[in-house]
Amino acid sequence: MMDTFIPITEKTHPIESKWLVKNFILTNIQILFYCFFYVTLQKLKLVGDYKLPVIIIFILINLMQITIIFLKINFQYEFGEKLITLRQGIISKSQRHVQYGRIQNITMTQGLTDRLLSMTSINIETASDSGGARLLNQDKQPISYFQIFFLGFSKGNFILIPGLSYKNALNLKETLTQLIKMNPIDDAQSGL
Amino acid sequence: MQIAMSKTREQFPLSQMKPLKKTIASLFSLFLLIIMIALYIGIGSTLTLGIRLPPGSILLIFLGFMGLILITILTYLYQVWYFKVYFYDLTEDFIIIRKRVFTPREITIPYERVQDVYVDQDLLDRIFGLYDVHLSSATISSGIEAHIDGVEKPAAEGLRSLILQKVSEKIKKGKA
Repeated sequence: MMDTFIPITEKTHPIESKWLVKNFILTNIQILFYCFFYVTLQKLKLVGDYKLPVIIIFILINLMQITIIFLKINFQYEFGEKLITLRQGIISKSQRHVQYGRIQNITMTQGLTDRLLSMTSINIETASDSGGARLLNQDKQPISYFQIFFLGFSKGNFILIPGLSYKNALNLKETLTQLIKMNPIDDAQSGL
Repeated sequence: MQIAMSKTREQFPLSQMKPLKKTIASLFSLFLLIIMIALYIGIGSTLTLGIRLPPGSILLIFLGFMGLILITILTYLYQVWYFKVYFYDLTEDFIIIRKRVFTPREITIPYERVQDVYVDQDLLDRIFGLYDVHLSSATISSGIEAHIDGVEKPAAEGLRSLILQKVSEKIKKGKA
């Protein structure tokens, strides 16, 4: 089927910038909402006048978002014929290689705002646990936006590619399933 | 609105009771809470005011009932919709499960990676005669996402045996 295999990279299937813009706007709306709530509490004399902590939180959250923008710029992925190759990191760089046969499951998710903008996230999981990332992400699946700040796009057992356009996501999933079929691992380990 | 049909869903259909069961399950705690509050207020007011109801309370109770009925109907409609978009398919090489109306999630698991298949029932499932077929690979998210719930007994048995059979076929093929 794949005679002329073209690897899928961040150039052919990019993380859309509108994903970043969306998250930037949404988090700032949230912060504004909390600020409004806080000011109301102040006017009712229920809390004291603490302007500084609010401003610091506002700055910190936006700094985190700027870091995520740089993480996104530095995140490169290539779904080659035999391996998935990932490069990420702003200052401390890391490279990761994943075999197709080792993929445990692929999850496609769409949040409400994602759906309005016709975007989809793909999460590819293996059974590895490098970096103990699972401890930070015990019960929250998929990885939330701010967890990317702490974990990056791929650490531990997941490779997260958020904000793909719906068409690209479907295409990526189809290609991945084909590649998994074409690259089986001999000693298929299963509990059954 | 079309039901999300697949070969597997045709062969092992979801039970028609599923929306009802899910409605009851999701509204149970709300109703329990309301009954508790109503009892609390009721007993309190009888002790302080005697049996007489305070003025305007009849209207309030009526509106409350109407609200509850509306919530119940909306939840039921949502569950019917959920039932219709529920998609599961055991293809040649993968298990695909897709669910949820507004925020769809789809999980794809290769047969070789299935670690565990089990069938279970909770209390309401036993009352309605429904079964949940769970399967998981080695990840946490698959344990959360990958289950087909609300099938009747023959379908549950069929799904389980089909998955187990395909898994062992795949593993043998891998070893050969």
